[in-house]
Amino acid sequence: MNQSNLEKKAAKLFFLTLFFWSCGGSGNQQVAEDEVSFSDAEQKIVGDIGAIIHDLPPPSIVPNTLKKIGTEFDPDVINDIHKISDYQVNEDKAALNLGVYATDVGYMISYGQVQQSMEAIDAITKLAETIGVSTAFDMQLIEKYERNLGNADSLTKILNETVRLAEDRLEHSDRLSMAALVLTGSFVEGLYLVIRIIESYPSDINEETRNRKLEPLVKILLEQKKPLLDVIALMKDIPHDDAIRRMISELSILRLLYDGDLAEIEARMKDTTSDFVMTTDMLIDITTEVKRIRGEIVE
Amino acid sequence: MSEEILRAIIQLLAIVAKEDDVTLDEKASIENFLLESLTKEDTKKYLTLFEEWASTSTEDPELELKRINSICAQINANQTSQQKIVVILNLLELIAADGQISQRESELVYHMSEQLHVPKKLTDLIKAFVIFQERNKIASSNILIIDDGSFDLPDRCKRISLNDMNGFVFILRVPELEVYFAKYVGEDDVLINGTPMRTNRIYVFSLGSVIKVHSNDPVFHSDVISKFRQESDTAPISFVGRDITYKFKNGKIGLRNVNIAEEGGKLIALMGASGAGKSTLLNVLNGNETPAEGSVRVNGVDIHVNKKLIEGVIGYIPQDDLLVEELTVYENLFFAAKLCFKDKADKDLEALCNQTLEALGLYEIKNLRVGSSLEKSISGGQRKRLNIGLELLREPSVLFVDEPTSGLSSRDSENIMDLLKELSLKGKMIFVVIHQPSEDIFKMFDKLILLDVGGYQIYYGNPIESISYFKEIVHMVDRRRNANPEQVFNIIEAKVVNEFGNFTKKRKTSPYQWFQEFRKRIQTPKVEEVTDVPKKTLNIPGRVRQFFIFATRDLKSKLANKQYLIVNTLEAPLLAIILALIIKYIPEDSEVYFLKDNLNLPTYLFMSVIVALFMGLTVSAEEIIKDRKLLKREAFLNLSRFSYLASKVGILFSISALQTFTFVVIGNFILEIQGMTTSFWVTLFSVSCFANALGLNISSAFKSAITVYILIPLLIIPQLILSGIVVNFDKLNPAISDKERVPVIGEIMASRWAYEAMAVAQFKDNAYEALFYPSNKIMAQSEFKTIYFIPKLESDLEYIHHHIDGVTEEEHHQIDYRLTTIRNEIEKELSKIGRENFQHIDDLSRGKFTDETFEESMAFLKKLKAYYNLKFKKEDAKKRALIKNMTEAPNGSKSFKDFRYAHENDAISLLVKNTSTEHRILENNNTLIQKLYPIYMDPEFPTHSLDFRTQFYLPTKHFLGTRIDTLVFNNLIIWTMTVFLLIALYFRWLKKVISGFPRR
Repeated sequence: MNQSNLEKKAAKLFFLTLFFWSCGGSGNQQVAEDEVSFSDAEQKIVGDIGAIIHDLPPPSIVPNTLKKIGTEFDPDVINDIHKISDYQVNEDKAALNLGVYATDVGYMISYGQVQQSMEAIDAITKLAETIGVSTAFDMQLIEKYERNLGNADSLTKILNETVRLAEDRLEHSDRLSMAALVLTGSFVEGLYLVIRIIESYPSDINEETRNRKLEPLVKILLEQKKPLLDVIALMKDIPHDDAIRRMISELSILRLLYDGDLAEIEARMKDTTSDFVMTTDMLIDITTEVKRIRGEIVE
Repeated sequence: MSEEILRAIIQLLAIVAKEDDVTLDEKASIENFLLESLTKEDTKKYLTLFEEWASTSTEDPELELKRINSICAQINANQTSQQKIVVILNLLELIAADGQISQRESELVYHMSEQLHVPKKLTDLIKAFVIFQERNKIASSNILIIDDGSFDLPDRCKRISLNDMNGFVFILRVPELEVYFAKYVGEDDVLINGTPMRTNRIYVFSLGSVIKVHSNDPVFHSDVISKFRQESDTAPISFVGRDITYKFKNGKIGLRNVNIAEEGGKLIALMGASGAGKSTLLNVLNGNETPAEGSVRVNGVDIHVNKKLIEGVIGYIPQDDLLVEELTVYENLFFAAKLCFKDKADKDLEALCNQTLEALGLYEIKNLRVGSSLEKSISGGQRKRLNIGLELLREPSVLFVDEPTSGLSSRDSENIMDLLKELSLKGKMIFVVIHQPSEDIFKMFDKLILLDVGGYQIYYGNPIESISYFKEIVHMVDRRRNANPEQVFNIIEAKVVNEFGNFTKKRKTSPYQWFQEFRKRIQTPKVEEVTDVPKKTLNIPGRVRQFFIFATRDLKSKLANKQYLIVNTLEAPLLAIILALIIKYIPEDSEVYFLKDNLNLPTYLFMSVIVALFMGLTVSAEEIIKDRKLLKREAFLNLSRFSYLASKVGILFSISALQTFTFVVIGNFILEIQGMTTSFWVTLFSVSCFANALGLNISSAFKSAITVYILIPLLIIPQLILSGIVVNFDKLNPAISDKERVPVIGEIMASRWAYEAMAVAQFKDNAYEALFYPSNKIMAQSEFKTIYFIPKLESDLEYIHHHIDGVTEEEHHQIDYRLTTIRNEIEKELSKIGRENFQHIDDLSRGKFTDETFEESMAFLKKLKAYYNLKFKKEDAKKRALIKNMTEAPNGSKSFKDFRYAHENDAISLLVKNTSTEHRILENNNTLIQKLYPIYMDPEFPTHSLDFRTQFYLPTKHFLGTRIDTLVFNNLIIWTMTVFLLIALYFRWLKKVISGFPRR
């Protein structure tokens, strides 16, 4: 009795298993066939464009300078953190805004807004995942960041290193356009910070004081010319896609302004002989443009 | 008898006596009748009354008739049939007392008997019995004659012959009432129950009565009965136990040379002091235990050797309760019937059950729940009767009953013994172990087997005789015959008195001494063994039908238990509601709930596995223990244990299915998990069934429910800890952990397989991720390769390149190790992309490594990197295109975002991608192990075809050359474990292991 029963049981089990295998086995072709062959890869060795990327300014530069000249912290200029859910859909947008937030974090660190900066770091992590560099923004980073919350310098260093790492990774994965977009976003945000500060400068104080205070800000603005040119050059060198092309055109507009109005202002400022008085109206063009471009990025 | 009735009877007698004058003989007859039940004084009183009535003048015949009728009505209301017959008997004796019966007298008596509902035939018979003084005058099957055998026996009469007897004894049997009367005609000294029989006087020959003629063997009531019952309705049976010796497991002797020889139709008592071996003997005789020496034969068939032949012949009613508490009296009987009679239709079984219930006096309570001994619905006596009824249904030819009267009132005890006596009268052989029977019950037995401590047989014979037997041995003076069994034990166990006059503990006569006396004085009778194989009254249905019967019975009993039903059906939904509501987390700055943001989802999955385990275990833990006694009986009847287990399994699995289904549906609904119902349900169902099988095993192996419940935490907690989420498998005690895969200790936990299946399914199969999974997978793998894997190889190569000329032992070792690792890994890569792509693989050993090798290798690695980057970009482009497609519509972005937020979960993603791990890549055993993104890995290089072990959270598993989806594979593993447990259950492995720890 026992024997035959066991045999029957075993047989049933065996057939059941076979059945399941056929189901499981066939339903398993989720793996996409290898469409890329190794030989394709051999043709595509990427050159060393990396050098240029590394020369571009890290996100903390502009904020730090702003702090140094004594401007006050303006919380309204920072990009809204809750917007990240909108950016996660599109990789280009995500990359751009990652750069934007990076600069914002630098801004917050400089002014000791540590709590806020943590939230922003969190946002950055999510965006990093979208563009595929989550490995740079991992738990270890966050822990390291938390450990150094008291020390603005360390935090700045960590921020810069992390962004550098992300860009590095992107570069190594041959995703230079992503890297470029991150940089662009960071750069534009830096510009935006400056012009916003300039714009929001109170107009009711003594003009002279005002102008005196404005000058260093304008100086910073003017200093951004080189990075701008570098960014444009970088983007021209890498494979173009829609996002890159658009950015190039936008930045080119800025370059025109730099070459035009701003160059004039610069010259005037350098000319210590003339009684040059800086007014915000002079900067209205660049202000509008930067705001527009930045608006499009963070929308 | 009450005064009223007595007066009524005397009135009747007076009426009859009046017909002719009251003679002296008639008076004497009345006096005798009165003396039988009254004192001398009262006799005088009533006699005077009688004379008064008898002397009144004859009244109007019609009035007289009326009076007779009213008296008879009065008697009818108060007297039993037996008593009424005695009345008729006395009437007849009265009218016969003066030697003649006149017409009128006769008419009166017949009229009275009619009024008393005594059939005419009976009255005729009694009349004949009373009148006739010669043997040849009556020819009836209801007459037995005891004489010396010389006379020609009239037609149909029975006879018992005795030597040297003068005259004869008539014994009349009243068949409907089983009442016997005896009358002696002759001049000898014949004793009935010790008193001399007067000629022509009629005596009631009741149970336990004995007629002794001279030096002949006494004629017992049972002897007479068996003569009348010879054409019984049962086939003849012979039962012979020869020299039965039994040894316990520890070597002690339980029975020594017990001998029994009986023919059918006997009620046999098995008595003895505590520890004498009564139950042991019972178990040997009924086939449960095998004797060390000797044999037990029914109709010549040795019951221990030829078990098959004897199947269904022997019945056994143990002391334990074999009832299913939740079912009614009727249902208990009905299911027992179904299991006994395979061929009978339900209607027939119904009739049989009702019949049996009536015979047992349980018909009125047939729809009452049996209840437990704590929650009594029916009385103890009724329970006992029902237990007996279970075996009575099939009327086995040989029946063993263990202490049927213990704990019952004397009335109930008598009822039960009456039942058994009835059975024995039908021709069955019934062995009863009994303790301290009352006198009346003692008299019912046909034979008595007495055992003394140590298994010695010290008496075998008629119960009443036992008293005189023992009295004789100890030379007691008072040899009066009575039926008090206490006396016997007093003699057997009499203790020695010491010099102070106190009783010591030592017995006067040891068991061995009694045994010797027994051997000397009593011969076991020789019985002719019947040659026909005894009839089977049991016809058990096949295993499939048994399965259905068991299942129906179990289901009915569960459904009848309201508490059980409610708790079991509501348990799962309640738990689901509580759990889901508690963990439905919404982040502080959000107002709406999104699945994506719920950080507690892994906990939910884990807890559902634990809930399934708990529910499965607790539901099944008591199942087999509850039925323990029932199972013993079913084993005795040779019912299939397999069917029983299968029915239990079937029902428990169904309960599991229901519970897990309600749990999943409600939990997923509250937490807004979409599309996972089937995956989760299947997994939880598997786990619950596993727990059921586990629970059944411990239920079957342990004796008490408490032990089982204490074990439950011991079984659940390891499952809890090693499920893979409470404690990370990478962070265990190094002695038990494994770098490359889930440690063995985790592999044996069903919870680990279940949780992994659910987590993987939730991540990979949800509507959102399913769209991008193939691309994500390739992208993730590329990322890993380019960021961790290839750089590691590159840095190792650099190291080798720098140290290749080193001379120290340590350096050599390092280089060898790293080279081997690099070799292995590149081999693996080449196996995927084609071996021709790197020609220098063989140069990767210390002896052959040159600068050129280094250059070529680095170049190859660069190409490899580019290759992976290309793959990444391709998939990235595909993914972007797909997203663009989906977000093109006007509200596209928003709906895409909502879609994603409703299906994805960050907490699970974090776990299955393992992004929080410290070491994304590990080196072990000359291989590089990828720890990052397990969910995107496939098992690529199994060590052998049966190797299915991998890291935690892999989406597919390898087995026998194919890759099987984790959800499917994990469930199969759980089912394999379940099947294994069920096999262990059937073969009782756990029980054997446990009893391997002997208790001495």
